[in-house]
Amino acid sequence: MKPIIGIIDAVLVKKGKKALADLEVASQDPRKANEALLLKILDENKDTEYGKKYDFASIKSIEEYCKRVPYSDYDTYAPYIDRMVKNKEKNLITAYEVIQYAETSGSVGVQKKIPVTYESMKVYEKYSFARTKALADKYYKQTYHKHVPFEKGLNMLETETTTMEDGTPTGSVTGSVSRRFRKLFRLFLTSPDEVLFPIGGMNMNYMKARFALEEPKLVFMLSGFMTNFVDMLNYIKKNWEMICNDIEHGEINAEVIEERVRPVMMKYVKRNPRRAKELRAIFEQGFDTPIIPRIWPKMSWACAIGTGGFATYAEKYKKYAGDKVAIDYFVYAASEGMFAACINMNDPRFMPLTDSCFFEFIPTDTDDDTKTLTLDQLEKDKEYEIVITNQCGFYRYKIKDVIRVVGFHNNCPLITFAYRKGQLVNIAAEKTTEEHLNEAVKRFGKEINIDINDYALYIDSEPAVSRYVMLLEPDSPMPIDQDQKYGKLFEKILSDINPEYGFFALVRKSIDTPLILVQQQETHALWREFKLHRGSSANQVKPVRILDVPVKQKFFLGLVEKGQEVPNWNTYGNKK
Amino acid sequence: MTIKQKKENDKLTVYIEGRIDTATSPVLSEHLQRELDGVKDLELDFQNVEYISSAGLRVLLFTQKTMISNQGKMVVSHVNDDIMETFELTCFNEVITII
Repeated sequence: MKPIIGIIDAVLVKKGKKALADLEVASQDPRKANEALLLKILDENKDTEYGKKYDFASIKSIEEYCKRVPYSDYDTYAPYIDRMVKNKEKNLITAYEVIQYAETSGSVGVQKKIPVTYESMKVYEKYSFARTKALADKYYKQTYHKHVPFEKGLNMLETETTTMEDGTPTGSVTGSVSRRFRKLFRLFLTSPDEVLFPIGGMNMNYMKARFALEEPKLVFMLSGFMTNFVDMLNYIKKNWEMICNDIEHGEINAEVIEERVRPVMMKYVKRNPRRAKELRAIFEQGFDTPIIPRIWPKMSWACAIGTGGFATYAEKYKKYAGDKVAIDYFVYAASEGMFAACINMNDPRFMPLTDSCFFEFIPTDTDDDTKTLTLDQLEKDKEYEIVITNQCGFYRYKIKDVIRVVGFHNNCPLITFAYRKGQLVNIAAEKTTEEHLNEAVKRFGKEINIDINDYALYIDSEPAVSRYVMLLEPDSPMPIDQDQKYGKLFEKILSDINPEYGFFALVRKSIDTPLILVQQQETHALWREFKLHRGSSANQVKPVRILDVPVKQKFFLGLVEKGQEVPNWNTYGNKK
Repeated sequence: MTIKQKKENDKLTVYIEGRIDTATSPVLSEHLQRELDGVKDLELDFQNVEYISSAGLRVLLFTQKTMISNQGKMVVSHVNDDIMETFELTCFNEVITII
């Protein structure tokens, strides 16, 4: 290991250990830690226009804050943000300097511009890479009694540099964090700078795979989402012959890269017949057993969001990776802030970051949202809508997420993301969540012996009794004439997983048997590529679950296997 | 699926016959990757294409990106009604040129 890499390793582990130590302290009394943050935010923002409106200066307790400051959503701040962007006005909603605007992935609506301050960026930096490196170290010491080497890694995150009219950067927050450490990346990441910060059109799956495959000592993989890993690994599975040829001959395939960019990237490659031969021998054995340990025997850990909507992709990743690669499920975050982080490898539970945002929680089993709860008042196995006060000018902001408490670390609840309000499927108060559906789809695939790659659904409410219409995308051909049998099977499985659904479907008969439609293979991958082609960032494209807007409905329903009846689609002029 | 083509200077016309689906799209993809070198004007003639699936659409999208990267253009011609409907439903008609 080069000396400089050893120094970086030591610094990262030290910073990461400090971050974990801070979490440990906060976990003893999370309310106290979180209240301290709230009072700090109020004190430092008391002279903003918003702060004066609600007299932050005189608020000295959580109770006072909740009484005086109303809930908010993006519309509350849109006029202020407009002035900030157009007129460069400061001190409207935040006293902290705004260093960029994050464009949301729009999972519950139109794109918004969320201010990001240096204070919130510091939280991202604290709990991102350094935390995951320290976790990996801790895991390897405990499990294998050895230090995990800090050699080469693969980073799937790409950072597009876009700016607003006034030059203020836009884009994902993770991209901005990456920009700050750009000069260090070349020391330990396989992708060249021009791939991490794209200079032109190139097939990112090819480019990431091309350089990563050449490095036999790859130790870790980083991404925003598990989908990025799986897309790249699927690409390798399909295209390994071409990639191996390129590695052997020191080439970059002309079809995967813009002509003007290719000469720039060619300076990074040279003939490597030995590695090409090694890789061919591995790939020729097939992909039935985990491929990652065979390509990269030193691969130790991976970090990416693999919960919620990404859970199915985490399962796919594990098939490629096997048991030995430890997984850090990274963080629960949004453009509005980083809310929680994992504190153990292979454990998808998140600990709220008491120094990131002030958190309030509204129980979902009541319609009364006048009283909120703090971290110390939450109960295991209960669900709550999360309300945040961040360090970017959003106060008592309803982000429309629902979390579930799944355990405790000392006195601090551990949470998972349950669902987005508005993304919940609900015909008769059964409240089927994405988690329910993920599990149901997984079990359904096992029952019929066909891996289900992905899924989406909508509610068919035209018949007398409404029903779910599930579009299942199989990994291999699936019969289209078994919808009755499949519908009954799915109904039974979902009823086991969500008893409320079972009650309404099987007892009250107020939900009809689901209709199962077979989605054409590769449809979800096509959607992601289509979104990227139309300008979305890879760090922001999320799986589609509910076909809630016409563009999604048309896309996914237009690509079901032929010969199936798609119910009640006449509004789109379809004559199926 | 069968593929025939005609090349004149930097214009390539590819005549595809049959179905472009999960099984056949890799064949089309490989063919196009081999043949696009130096091509600035690509026409995919769909006169005898019965059906295109998501896998086939991915090949179109990737080829379109390649042509744009190389300062070329791609058109899809003689599309039947069913395929046109697929293009419209998926908004593919907004990203590829259909004549």
